Amino acid sequence: MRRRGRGLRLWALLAVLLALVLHGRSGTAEATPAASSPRVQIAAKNFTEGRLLAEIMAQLIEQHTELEVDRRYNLGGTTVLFSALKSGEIDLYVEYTGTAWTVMLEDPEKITSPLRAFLTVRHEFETRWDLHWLDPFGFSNSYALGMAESRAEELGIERISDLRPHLSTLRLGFSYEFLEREDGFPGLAKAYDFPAHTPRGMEHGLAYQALAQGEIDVVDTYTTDGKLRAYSVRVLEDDARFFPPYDAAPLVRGELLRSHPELGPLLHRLAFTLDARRMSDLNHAVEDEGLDFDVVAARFLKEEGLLVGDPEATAAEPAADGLLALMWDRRGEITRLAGEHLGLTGLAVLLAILFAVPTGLWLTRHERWAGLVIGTTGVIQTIPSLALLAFMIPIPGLGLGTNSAVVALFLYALLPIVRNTYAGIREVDPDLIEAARGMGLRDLQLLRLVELPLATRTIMAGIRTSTVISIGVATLAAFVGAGGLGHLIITGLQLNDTRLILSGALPAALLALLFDMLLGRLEHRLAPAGLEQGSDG
Amino acid sequence: MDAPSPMIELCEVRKVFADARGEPVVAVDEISLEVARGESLCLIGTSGCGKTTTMKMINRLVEPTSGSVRVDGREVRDRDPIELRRSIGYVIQRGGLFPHMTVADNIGLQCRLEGWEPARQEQRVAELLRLVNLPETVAPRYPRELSGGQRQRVGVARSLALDPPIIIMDEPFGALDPITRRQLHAEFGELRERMGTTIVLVTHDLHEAFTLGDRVALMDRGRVVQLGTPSQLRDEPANDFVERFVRAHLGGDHA
Repeated sequence: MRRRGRGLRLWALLAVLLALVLHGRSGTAEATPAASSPRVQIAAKNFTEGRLLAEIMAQLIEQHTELEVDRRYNLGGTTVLFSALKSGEIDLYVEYTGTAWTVMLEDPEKITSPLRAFLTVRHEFETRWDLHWLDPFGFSNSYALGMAESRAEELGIERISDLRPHLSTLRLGFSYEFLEREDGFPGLAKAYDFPAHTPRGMEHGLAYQALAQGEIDVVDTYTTDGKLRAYSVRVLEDDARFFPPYDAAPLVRGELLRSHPELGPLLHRLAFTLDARRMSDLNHAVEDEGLDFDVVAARFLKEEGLLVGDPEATAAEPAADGLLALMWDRRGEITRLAGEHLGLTGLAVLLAILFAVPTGLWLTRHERWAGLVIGTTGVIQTIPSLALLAFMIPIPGLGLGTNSAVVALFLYALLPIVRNTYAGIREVDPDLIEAARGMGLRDLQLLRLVELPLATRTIMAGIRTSTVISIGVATLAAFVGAGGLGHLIITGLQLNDTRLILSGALPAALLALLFDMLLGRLEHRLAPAGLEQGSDG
Repeated sequence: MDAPSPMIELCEVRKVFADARGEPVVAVDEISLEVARGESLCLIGTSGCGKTTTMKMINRLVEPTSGSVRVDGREVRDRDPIELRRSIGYVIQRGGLFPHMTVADNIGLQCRLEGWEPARQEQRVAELLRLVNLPETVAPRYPRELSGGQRQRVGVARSLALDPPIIIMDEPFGALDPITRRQLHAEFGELRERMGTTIVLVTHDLHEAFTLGDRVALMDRGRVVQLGTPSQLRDEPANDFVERFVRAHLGGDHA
């Protein structure tokens, strides 16, 4: 009969989608070389400096060893990287002593001595987690105060304490975060015994321009900020040693160092090669000159005599100007990432359908579990997406990459589908169920011929909601190295490049709208004829 | 041999439900009655008197707490409920038609479940539509496109699909306007004569009970107060309750 045909068609459609998604996944799996050659997983947080240093280490290892390097850049934040390192998902990334002190060791004491911070952190990480801090790169990326070079020269200011006599006339413009944090201006004012003063709060990105135009005199900054080079800013010496040290060093799994003893000495060749000024030059080259990470890294290694060959040969052509031109230039990449994006979302939503629809049905037969189960799926939805992704990494079989992202997206997709399946079946007129039973329909016949067709529209609406949510959340998948359009967004955030952010965000939004529309149509087509339109929309 | 056994026998049937707070509520209290082959029995009473519960125990939509229900001489609790229900036509208020199925699909559903060939099913649907005085043009339409009277006719046709020896009906003509109802009452009489089906019909309308029932069982608080022909109830009320009920419902013209 006609309705049976429709049901079959729905299942055929699901099967084809599943096949497509699985095919896509097996395709990407084949793309990574066989695991036979020894590999090193180098990771980086989603900001310029971490990625640059990771790239420098990657090229160094590739140049001097037989090891293959997997680059896992743009991962989301300290928590994600640290748990990935502990579980062996990644082998190596760049960490900062100040972060390790407060975030990982959770030491409430304020640390001021860079050496003590480094030695303590190194000792603790080795004994607690068999994680090794190699020798630092030589710079500390900490908070700092900066002044326009000319103005500082004119007033003869070199150290923060030199500001004191001029405070009544100087205009201070600080980022909101710096104004609030105890290790920002409030603590600083105490440490330097500054008289009461109210600095202006402003967006950090705008502060440099205001400084260059002479609207403000002092800004908060980072010692390695690439913008220091673009705007000719003098970094004032922290002579009271107020700002905690943030020395950067490679953080490596002990197992890797033991299985490849040549790696320790090799990476130590990077020790103390970078001071804050040189690091900010490198950041500047990527952020403001538009050079690619690998080019800047290669240039640095060459200067250090650690790389042979001509890095400039691979120099990127200048980036296109407008947003559309940029998107056109990157159309291949955008298409590929959009494909990854849909693959992640599609697989997660399909799995969610296969799990959540039967669960919703089961709940209509076991009402007393409904509150608990629907409540639990609701609680999952309140977990911040990034945190949920981070939870997945230590789970065996998940780790960094697609699996974690799919499982997290799957969990997010459950609620709307379970809830709508349950509600859709419960909304069916009890008289109709009574009539069906009285006519001698068996349980499964009742479900297949009466309840499911009448609940189709509500169930489909749940699937549609899940899909749109998943397309949005999947932009975060790049934080755990699962790719997708989030890759462009994160890189754009890192480079402070709005066009790049939009080149990922716009296609993601378009995909969400497109699927909302397509699934709306499908909903309409699958909903059985004979029902009043929109009665349960 | 004795006279043929009654089509339906209820013997000391009792049904106790738990209410919302878990307190037991007696819905049907020790009812015993028989329905002869080809007879029509109307169960009547105010809402909550147990008439619908009594009816649903015949096709096992409700299982009795105690007592026995026999259909065609066999204990229903020993029978497969699916097979039992397919041998008992079931009509509910407003027809209970499935809104996502066409008239033909509604009427032919039981035939389809029994695995009939589509051609045979189609032929049966056409027959049944004629039987309930509906044009064949309604077959491809959906329930919401029909009038209340048409829907009710489809509901009756659907219950007759497998030619059941028994039909049970729950307020089948309740939601119709008086003219349509009178017309359906007349058609119902003709249909019965032609088919010889045994009928149990639940109603709260005494006119309807007196028109359609060979015998009428007046129920109150889970018990049968009087079971007899319409004229017995009218002329020989068993007690004050019956007399007052009949007078109140038939009004001046029968008083």
